[in-house]
Amino acid sequence: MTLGNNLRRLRFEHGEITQQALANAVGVTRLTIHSIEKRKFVPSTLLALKLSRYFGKPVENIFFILDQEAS
Amino acid sequence: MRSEDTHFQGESGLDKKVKLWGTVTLVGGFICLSWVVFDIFVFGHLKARLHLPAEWGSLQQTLGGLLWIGYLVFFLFHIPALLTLIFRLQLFKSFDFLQSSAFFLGLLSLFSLVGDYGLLNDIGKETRLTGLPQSEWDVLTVVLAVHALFFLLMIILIFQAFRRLKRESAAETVAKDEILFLTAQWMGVICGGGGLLVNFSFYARQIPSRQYVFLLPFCLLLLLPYGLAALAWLVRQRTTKPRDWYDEKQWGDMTRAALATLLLSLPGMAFLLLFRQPLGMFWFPHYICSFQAALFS
Repeated sequence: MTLGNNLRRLRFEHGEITQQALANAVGVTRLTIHSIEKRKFVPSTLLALKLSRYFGKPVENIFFILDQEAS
Repeated sequence: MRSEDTHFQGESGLDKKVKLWGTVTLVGGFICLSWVVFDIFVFGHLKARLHLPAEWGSLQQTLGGLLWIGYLVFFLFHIPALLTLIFRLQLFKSFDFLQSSAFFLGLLSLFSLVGDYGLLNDIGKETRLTGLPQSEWDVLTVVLAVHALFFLLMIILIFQAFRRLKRESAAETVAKDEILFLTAQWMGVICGGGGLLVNFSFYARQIPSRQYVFLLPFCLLLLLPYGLAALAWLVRQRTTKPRDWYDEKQWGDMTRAALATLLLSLPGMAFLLLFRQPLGMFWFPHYICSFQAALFS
């Protein structure tokens, strides 16, 4: 199982903000946001909640579990 | 937000090119500057023994080899440096005194490398035939100063460009700066690798153990670029708490890299411990290089 996410789509729906701007807003580096979007890095609960608060959406609307076939 | 983002990106990603090649040049610049210091030490060491062939051993051969590698590194440095200068010029569309001096010194330094090759060969030949040629040494020293000036100028120009990029693109203001972190990281890997290379070249050439004391200052010189980058990074972080120095991914990456480096160094350390037991001086700098390579990687 891997962790999927809608970060890229949400960024574009929220004024097409850049990865850098999102990174600044939640206090991480741009590479971290990039790695989450590419599913190379699983964020901590704290970071997931920060992203959730930033976008004003529940965590499960941003992150979801992908099984092997779906991924 | 978008219009601010595209302020520099509208220039077909030139800002990214300046950041990328600038970072490569910055790392290379610190390494080359340290190699210049290394060259000065080695020139002094070799010059004192050049007219005494009886004193030439595997240590002097190794140091001579490292000198040549240094000149190869100098040559390679000119590629990213000149690319950075071109991209910087295209991005900022300004050609100031520092930039024009860098272009001039860069080309002079590049062409001088051919002269360096001839000079070093001449010095070797003339010493054997007529004694130590002082004038060639003087020219070699002046050319080395030209190289050093170019390296220094490039470092200043890149810091200047990074600062300007940050200032002029408000949306790209970085809360957690990763450029210096990445620079320190790559410098750690390169310097650590360089240190290991020097150590193993001493080992491969079977240099007598009493001469291993020469290894420590050279290892410290190799660590100098990393030390400078790490110091610059620490100065930037002085107002933040250690727990905020990195974000969670960077902490994870560093932990994994430290573990991998430790695991990779274990077979080497075991080999040295088992087969080179009397040479306590040898494995010590080896371990320092491995350890510092792990610290920021």
